[in-house]
Amino acid sequence: MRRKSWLIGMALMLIGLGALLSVFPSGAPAQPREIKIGGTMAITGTFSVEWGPKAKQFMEEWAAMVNERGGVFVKEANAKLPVKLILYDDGSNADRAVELYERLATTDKVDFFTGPASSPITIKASTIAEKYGIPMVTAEANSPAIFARGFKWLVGADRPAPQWAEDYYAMLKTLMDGGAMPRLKTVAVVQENTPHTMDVGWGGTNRANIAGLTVVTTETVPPGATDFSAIVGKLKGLNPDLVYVAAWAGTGVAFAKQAFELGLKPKELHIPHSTITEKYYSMVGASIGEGITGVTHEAHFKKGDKDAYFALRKKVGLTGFDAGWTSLRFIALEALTKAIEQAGSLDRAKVMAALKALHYETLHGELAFGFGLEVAGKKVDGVGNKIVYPAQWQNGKIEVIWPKELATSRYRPRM
Amino acid sequence: MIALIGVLVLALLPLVLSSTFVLVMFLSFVWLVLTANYDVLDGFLGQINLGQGAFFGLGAYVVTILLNVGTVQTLGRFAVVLATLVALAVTALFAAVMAFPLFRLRGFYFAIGTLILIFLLQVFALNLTALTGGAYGAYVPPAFFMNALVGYYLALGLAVLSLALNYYLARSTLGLAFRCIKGDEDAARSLGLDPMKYKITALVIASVPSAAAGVLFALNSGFIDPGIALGVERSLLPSLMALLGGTGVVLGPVFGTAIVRIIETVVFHYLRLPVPSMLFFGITLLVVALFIPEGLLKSPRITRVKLFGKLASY
Amino acid sequence: MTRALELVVSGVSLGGIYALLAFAFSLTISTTRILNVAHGVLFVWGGAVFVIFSQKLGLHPVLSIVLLSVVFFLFAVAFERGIVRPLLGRSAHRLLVGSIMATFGLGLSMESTLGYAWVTYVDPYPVFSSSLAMFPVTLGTVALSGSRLVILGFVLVTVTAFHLFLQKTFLGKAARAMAQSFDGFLVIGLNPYRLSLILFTLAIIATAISGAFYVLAVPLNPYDGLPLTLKAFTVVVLAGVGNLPATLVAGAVLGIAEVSTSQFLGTIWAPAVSLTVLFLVLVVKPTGLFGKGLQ
Repeated sequence: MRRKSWLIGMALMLIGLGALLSVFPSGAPAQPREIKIGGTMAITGTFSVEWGPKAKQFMEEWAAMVNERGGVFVKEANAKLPVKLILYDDGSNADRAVELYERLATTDKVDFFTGPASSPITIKASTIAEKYGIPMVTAEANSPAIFARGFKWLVGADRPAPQWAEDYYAMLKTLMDGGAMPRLKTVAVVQENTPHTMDVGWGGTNRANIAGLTVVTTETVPPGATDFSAIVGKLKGLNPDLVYVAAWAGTGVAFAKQAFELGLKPKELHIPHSTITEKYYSMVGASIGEGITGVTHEAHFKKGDKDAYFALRKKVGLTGFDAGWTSLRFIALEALTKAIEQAGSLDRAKVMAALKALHYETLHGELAFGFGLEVAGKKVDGVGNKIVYPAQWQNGKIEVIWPKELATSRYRPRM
Repeated sequence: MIALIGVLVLALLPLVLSSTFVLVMFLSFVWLVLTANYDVLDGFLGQINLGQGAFFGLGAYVVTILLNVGTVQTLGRFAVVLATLVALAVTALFAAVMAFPLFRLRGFYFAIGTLILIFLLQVFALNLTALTGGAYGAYVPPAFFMNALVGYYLALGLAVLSLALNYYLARSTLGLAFRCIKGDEDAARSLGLDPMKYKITALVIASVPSAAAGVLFALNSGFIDPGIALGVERSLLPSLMALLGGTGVVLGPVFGTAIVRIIETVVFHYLRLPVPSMLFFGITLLVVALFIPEGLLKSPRITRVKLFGKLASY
Repeated sequence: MTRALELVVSGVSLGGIYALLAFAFSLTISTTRILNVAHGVLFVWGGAVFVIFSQKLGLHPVLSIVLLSVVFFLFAVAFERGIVRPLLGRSAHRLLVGSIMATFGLGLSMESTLGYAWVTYVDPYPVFSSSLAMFPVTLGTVALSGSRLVILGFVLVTVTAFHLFLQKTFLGKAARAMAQSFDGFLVIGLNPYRLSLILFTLAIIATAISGAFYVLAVPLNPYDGLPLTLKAFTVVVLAGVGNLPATLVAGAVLGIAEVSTSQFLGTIWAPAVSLTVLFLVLVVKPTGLFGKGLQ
């Protein structure tokens, strides 16, 4: 008995000591200079549903690919330097993410940051980037709130979420004007109370005029809402032509199911996140899934380093439209390496300046970061221009229906 | 005394620790405050209080909201002091008011009642967008950001204060009254004690340092949202840490918090195995629950070791 | 008038879902005195395994349920041996605390394992739902969700069955006796370990099958476990611990409250209303609407 408790005590002390000792900088042996890129990812925890282990895998495979090609050419070093990616699991916990980004900055001493998952964690992580002057390129983060703080060390590859509706409504207008779609007059917006989905919902409500639609109601539901009976009842009474559901895929499944079962049949049902995963269709079934429109990050890209991109996806076991954020991660990391090449140096200020001025052709076309733009009533800096593509479930498959260059099919009316 | 040496070591740590660990320790002190406060209700009154997170979140939100009000900002440096005092007062008032309905409940039902508090507050934080920023969260104006080192020492001080509070309770008539009520409420009443008065006092006492911890957290991190400030872990983890370390023992919270934070740090900062991180955490809990369920400093197996026995006697 | 009727009907059908979530939990607490914090996690696992069998492997839903029962039977045996048994003999307070910690740890381990395993072995998106029971139903002018009707039917049947089991059969009475007083039970001379194994197994399988039915109407992800346990808590406490038929009523009460709140105040306030209803009931009648309280 005494031995056991002694052992427990010793084990605890050793663990604590070990943790403490690792704090002291070790005398590292001389190594070829690596470009250290660091970040955290929601590999476990609530946000990992949208990101998870695949995100880490994808980024690690990207780094391997870059190194297979010899690395990134840095003029100052007159050599191609390898990339070292350091990724931690933040467990979807903001406190932990802050500890880890601090660690990446001060202990791991990374040169650059990649963005984490989710708005709140990105806000916190970017604060650390700003504190230490470390360039950070986020991938999916697209809430104007993140980019409206006047930060100098932050850019993001994705176009702000409130603007997602612009592409969709522009498509609607063209289709309606051309007679490919019946004229719609009214729209009801249902939005889930999380920063991203509220942003998407903002676009749904405030950009409806692009297609000449009147908003009859905007309903907000709590995060992870599962019961929509009252809302569906209300909407049946209002009978909108278009129902715009700004919710995460799971919540969107619940809504679509209840709308179907309770007899809500709008002419057009647009659930942006419904085409963001191949799973959506199997979760709702064919009778519900057919004809639902959404948006996707992913498409059969025709430009940029597309072959390498698709090879990476294949390597990580991703097919079709799953994990569409891979395109954003790819572009964000690629932009970083391009900025390093253009700056010709690993000096953070030079790379940041290069990032801000960056223009090159990538998967979706010409990449450029915008500054001083106004989005959803906020002045934002450093937002990207990768748009999302309106898509539709047709015959159990996701088809991109807009723009023409990337469309694999045409819009099909639901009824 | 061991305690003084411990505090001295902790006070000197920032000189040798990396900024990462200063942050890790800061957060650990915050958790320690919540855990020690939890133990006021559990260790002394024998009630499982799952509302510590509510006090923490309330403190964090009130201070952040006030620091964004124009008239408060004009007070300059004094604004932080004022906002903090208001945050503490609001939380204490909240605790006092909620104590009335809550203490009609006992045991399991009291635990559920207190748990409801943090959920309700989170819903309000999410929905009252004009006041709290809603899902988008609230920012502390950069002018009021707290320096990491200042935060460290303030949090350390607060943690010491909270433990000192428990130490005092363990030796005072107030604490004695609490334990009378814990043992047998009717007998206590027959002695002339008004249980309700003491229960309210306990809840208010347990709410103030936690609110202060919330204030420190907000000022140090600069951004809070309903998930960060009022997530259910802020209530559940303190009770877990207290149970792990041993309830009703002054230094119990220290060990409980240390165990959890050490495991967490080792798993997330160092081990990067291809298995999910939470798995380690879960398995540790399971093992502890089955082998030392009374808590570290209350388990006969552990306290047999002289050092632990001495620490448990505080 | 139709709208009011619709609200009540929606509320009751939502109540079916809440009762589904709660009845096995009530069963577990009342018969084994173990507070299974991992209840929600098991529930989610049940849904996940059902989707794997019925969607990924394409098995017939009934076969899927049968296989699911086998899987969780094995799990229940391991759970009972490994966790329940060591906790059983302890005093009430230690049992409560021990069961909370142990099941919390188990729940954390299980949910992170599911999250990881799903993405590694099943598909890249760990959200699961079944479309097997999607059909609209209309009663006159009132629209009903077919999947929820199926769930309601299942809950009614199962709760009745368990209620009869506990009230009328020898085993059921023995279970209630053991829950009331473990030491008193030992005096009778029956084997408490075998009984606790049977009860626990039944409760676990019931939980898993409930999860399978749940995903017919609502999608789940691996991390929904803890919030669902807390929701189940709400319903059980409202009903009164151990009173299975009451969980149906409590579910309906909460369902109607939430749907009405969504209608008149806005859906974002629905969770606040559930919580407030629970709080009020707790303060006014802590043992729940119909309960005798936790012994």
